[in-house]
Amino acid sequence: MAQLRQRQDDFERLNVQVLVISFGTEDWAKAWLEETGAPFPLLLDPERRVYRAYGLGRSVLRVWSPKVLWRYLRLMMAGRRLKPIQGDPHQLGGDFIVDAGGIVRLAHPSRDPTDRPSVEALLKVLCETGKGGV
Amino acid sequence: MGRLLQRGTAVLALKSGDTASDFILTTVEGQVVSLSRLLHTGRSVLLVFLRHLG
Repeated sequence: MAQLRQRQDDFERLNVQVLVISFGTEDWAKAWLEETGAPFPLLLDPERRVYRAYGLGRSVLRVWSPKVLWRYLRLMMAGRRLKPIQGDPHQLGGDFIVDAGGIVRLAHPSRDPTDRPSVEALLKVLCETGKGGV
Repeated sequence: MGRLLQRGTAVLALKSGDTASDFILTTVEGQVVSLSRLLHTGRSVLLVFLRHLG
């Protein structure tokens, strides 16, 4: 999210609306907003209807891979405060780009928490999307 | 990704080239957001679905 926030001007320049979607409660969402300082609208989908509509289910086996455990260990060693578990830790996330015609141009479900496209990769697709390219 | 079976319910993974599913959700601040309305203004949209941790 920090990376996305840093590139906010690029999104605006490309006429892109960034929408963040959460399945958490309103309180959780507000706390997250405060902690991350995310400047984007945060939509609430507590029943995960939209998550499911985009193919984002739950993955019990894949979430706690060694790579993921190592990442959290590093974060904890760096003193980063981790949010307490609330709700479902196995729900997958993901990034999707939809063009103005309603067509999906990028679909990246997160197989595990370390699996997200870089902001550079997102901007590259958005740039092409805006030009009407493939 | 193909078809994923989740508790007996088939979940089709959206992929590039598919038509995005429309939705209407409310923001934390109480604002109603419709995807189709937003796209209608000519903007592209980046949807960031949050995971639970981090």
